[in-house]
Amino acid sequence: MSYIGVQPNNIKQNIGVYTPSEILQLEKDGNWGGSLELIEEQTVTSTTATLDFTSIQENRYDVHLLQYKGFIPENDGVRLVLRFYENGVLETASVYQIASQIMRVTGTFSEAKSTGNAHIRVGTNMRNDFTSASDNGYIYIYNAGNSSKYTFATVQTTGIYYGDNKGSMEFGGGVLPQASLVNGFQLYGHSSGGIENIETKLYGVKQI
Amino acid sequence: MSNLRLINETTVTSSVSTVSVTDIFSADFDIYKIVGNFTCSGGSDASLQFINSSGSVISASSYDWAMLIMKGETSFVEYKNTGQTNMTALFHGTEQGSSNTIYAFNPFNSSAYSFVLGQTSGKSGSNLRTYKNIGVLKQTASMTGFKLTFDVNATSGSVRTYGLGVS
Repeated sequence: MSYIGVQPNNIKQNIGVYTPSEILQLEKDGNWGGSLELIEEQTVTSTTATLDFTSIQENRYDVHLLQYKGFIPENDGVRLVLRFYENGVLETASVYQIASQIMRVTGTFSEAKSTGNAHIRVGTNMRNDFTSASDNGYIYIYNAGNSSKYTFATVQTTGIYYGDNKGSMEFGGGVLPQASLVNGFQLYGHSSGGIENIETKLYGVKQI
Repeated sequence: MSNLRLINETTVTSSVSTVSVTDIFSADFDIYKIVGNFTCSGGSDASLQFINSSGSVISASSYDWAMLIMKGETSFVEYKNTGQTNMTALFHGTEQGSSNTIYAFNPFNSSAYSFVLGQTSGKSGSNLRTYKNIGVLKQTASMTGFKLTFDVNATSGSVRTYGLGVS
């Protein structure tokens, strides 16, 4: 298996052949293939209330990466938010905790925080404007499949704030402070409007 | 095939105050992603120090860092310091696990400083704590690993190091 160690910087393609046993060993060691493993892609191009991810392979991954781009809400002022399914049941109660820093190119920075929120804050409040505005970002979600741990998330997003049509960026995190098995994620528009457009990719971050 | 490559996974299965991960930074990558998830009784922060190619932990007063602590229940707080012996609170652990994603830039490059960016989500008591960190080791030397030191022992968990490839 002469390619371990230099494989990332190979300058030639198909320069060797691995045997099945070598592949199995490389997979076991975590050295076979990339480490962001695509679980699911979902795209919305007409208004929908919610976007569910219900096959997240929580038994296989303890860290998930959910990337999104081009979020446009149904109505001005709607923001993308995240909720979790616990054993198939969507947690909608005000039990999530959040803390995010909001940075806008106009005005002072501000804090968004709560110890009793009905969702985890993801993006900025957006305009229903396909020509000049969209929200984009990524979310890391930890411990979803571990029923003895809380499910944590960290978030970073950038978009155009609907109020002044200027740039806005947020970073922060959230937690569902309940030791439970999370086996699904839901994105939806908060409040008073659905998702009119979004492209998403859900990855599992490889572990051994 | 994604350009993120798993290099090392180090697990914690018993109570430890430190975790050292060695021989992971190399000329193969300039940027590394480090993902940690630790269980600590009572909640704990963990500082980071780099380890050089001789296996020595860099404990000189050469670290600068800054962080924003975002709290679920009250106002956010800034912390910053220069000339320190470690990068404080880059990782966090709680009884219910935690989430830590760190990026390290240029650690193996002997002509550049080693920089880090971090984002963490954890808890203090029953309240959410989210950290956003930056830090730098102001030494032009080649680093090949890192050491985490916990305020309160970690009892389980893992830290995985990935290289960000260029194809």
